[in-house]
Amino acid sequence: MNRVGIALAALLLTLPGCAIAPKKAPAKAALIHKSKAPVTVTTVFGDGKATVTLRFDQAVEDAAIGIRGLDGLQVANVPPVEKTSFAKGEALTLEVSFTPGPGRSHLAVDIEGTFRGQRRMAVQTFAVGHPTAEQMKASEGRILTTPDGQRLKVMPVKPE
Amino acid sequence: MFSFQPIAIFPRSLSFAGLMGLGLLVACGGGGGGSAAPPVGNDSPRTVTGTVTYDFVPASYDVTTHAGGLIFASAVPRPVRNGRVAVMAGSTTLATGNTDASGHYSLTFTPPASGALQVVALASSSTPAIIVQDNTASGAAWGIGATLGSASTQDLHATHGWTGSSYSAASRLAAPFAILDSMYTASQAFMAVRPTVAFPTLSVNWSPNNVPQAGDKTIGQIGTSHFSPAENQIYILGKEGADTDEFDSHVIVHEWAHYFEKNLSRSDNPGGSHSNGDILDPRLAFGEGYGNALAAMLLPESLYVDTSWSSSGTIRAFGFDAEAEPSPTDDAQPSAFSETTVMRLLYDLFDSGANEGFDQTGIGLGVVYDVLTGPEKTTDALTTIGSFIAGLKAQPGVNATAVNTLLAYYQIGPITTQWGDGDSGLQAMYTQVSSVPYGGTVQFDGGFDSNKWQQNQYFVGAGTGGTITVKTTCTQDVDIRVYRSGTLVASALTNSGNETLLFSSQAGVKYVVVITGFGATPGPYSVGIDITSP
Repeated sequence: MNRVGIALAALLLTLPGCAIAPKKAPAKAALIHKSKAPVTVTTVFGDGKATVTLRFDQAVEDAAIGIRGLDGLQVANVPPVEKTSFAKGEALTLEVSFTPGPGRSHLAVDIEGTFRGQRRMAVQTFAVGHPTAEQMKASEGRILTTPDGQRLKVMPVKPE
Repeated sequence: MFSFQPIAIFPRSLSFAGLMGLGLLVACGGGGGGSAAPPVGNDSPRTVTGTVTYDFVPASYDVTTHAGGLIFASAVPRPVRNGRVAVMAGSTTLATGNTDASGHYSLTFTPPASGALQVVALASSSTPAIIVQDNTASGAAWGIGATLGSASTQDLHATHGWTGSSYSAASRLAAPFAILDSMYTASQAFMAVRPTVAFPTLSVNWSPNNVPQAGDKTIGQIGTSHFSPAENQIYILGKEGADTDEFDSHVIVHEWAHYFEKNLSRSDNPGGSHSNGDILDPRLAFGEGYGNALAAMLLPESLYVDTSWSSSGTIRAFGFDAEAEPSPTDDAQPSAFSETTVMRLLYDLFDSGANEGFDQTGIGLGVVYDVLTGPEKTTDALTTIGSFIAGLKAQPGVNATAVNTLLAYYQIGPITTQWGDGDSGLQAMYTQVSSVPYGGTVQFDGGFDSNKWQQNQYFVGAGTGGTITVKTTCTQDVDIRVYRSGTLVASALTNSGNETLLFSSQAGVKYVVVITGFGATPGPYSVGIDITSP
């Protein structure tokens, strides 16, 4: 082994092994993003139910987990999570009931906690349904296209 | 309800020349200040002046109490600097210009005989060219508009739209201008110390529909705020109730730093998940630590703050300080492989450090720029803290002893070369291949992500002038990538541990072979490496 100095190798011996399966090298182009809590959140939607799984990529303390709906999606029967510490590699699965909002709505999962001494947060959303024509309009303002294909979106200011 | 008024459309390039002569009738919601009386055409020039402003909302975070959020009660108007402004009459562009540093503009034009006039301000700047656009509206450039009556003054103000518990969609106008202002601040900071810097056009995508979910970016599924090297564009979250980043200036400038890396410097960052405390591949540690440090230097503000929504519907925050290490520490294992170490080291190199005995450097932004656009861009090695420090020490006036003192504080050895010589850990990342054929092994630690130190090793050697063959032998999946000054020359990326790669080499040119492992089972495993050339 010729890759590290003795001090660093010794330090590594103190690190616990983990059960996180390494992934194939990510595409360099896609993954330069802002910092977030090292938690992987997945959701499987069933008939009026959503199964949310949080996998902790690092150990966490003082964790707080929330599940809610956006855009009219209603969430019910969110089980209380009394546990506030999770080990690296540990997973937590929560099953909730939900009623979708009109068109496309979102289930939002948020996690906050202390990871290796730093407070971190993350929010992940999961879309349900297809957008309505009103939702497709995206937002206020007028969308216009010039003959050469350029587009402009002007929002009206309110009178002073 | 909107009233529809004629207004002109700007081309995406948004050059002054492009603005002039555009004659397109479009519909736009009306409102705006000034009288509604139509102008009277008399061929006499008319001048309209005004100020373009937006609501700046501070983001706060207390590293001790962890309290924080967006402080709407402390919102203040800030000028839209260097923003593009135009007077439009129906389909005709009458005058165009830019706001000054105070947001003021003055446009002189000859009114037409009839028809309403409009003043439009875009969330776009000219120097440098930055365009904030809506990725959920086919990249339409964001702007605000108001009807121009007979008054000679027309101010435009982009409101934040917060009503106390939620946003009013029709009044949420400030977001694109806040993003523009953070980007403009970052650009201007470098332009102030190196006036000749030329930034390529930057497109920034923001939408109130931008959610933290990966998927189709055209409907707002951007994953999170990020820089996309493939598109050379930045995406910023905007989904109320989940995560909005338009007022999180450090998040914005961190992504701007990645744009800077790609366009004016260089990044060999492999990307992937990362967090404080990880022992990262040193390319990743440098890239992420650099992004946070540069944001702190350019804004300038050492406290990184990122706000988001909680399940109770309130806005909260987390953050960290590029200057002050908390107690207990958030960097328990400082090294060249820690993004937190790199962040604080770079920031300490930059700032004066008057209150820290270990920090007697203060190289300033100019030298930071010179290193990033000079030796860091051209290094034969990979971009790590090693290449940066070696490049820094080559700059005139830099006190190498003071730099070494700072390195020692962060438990990094006195780096002397781009290959990390002087720091045992970084130096050991590079296995020197002095001649071919070469045969050896490297031991990886399975169970770690492929972008961590435990699963990467670099081999360095000079080209022979002929074809070079690299082979690996391993029971776990392994990839090979060959770089020349950061440019990928060849790769072997199958799902096997027995990879073979050939590339044509130039005699005497340095090549770096990166071996990356994907061992899933915790524990050590060996990778055999053979490098040959006929």
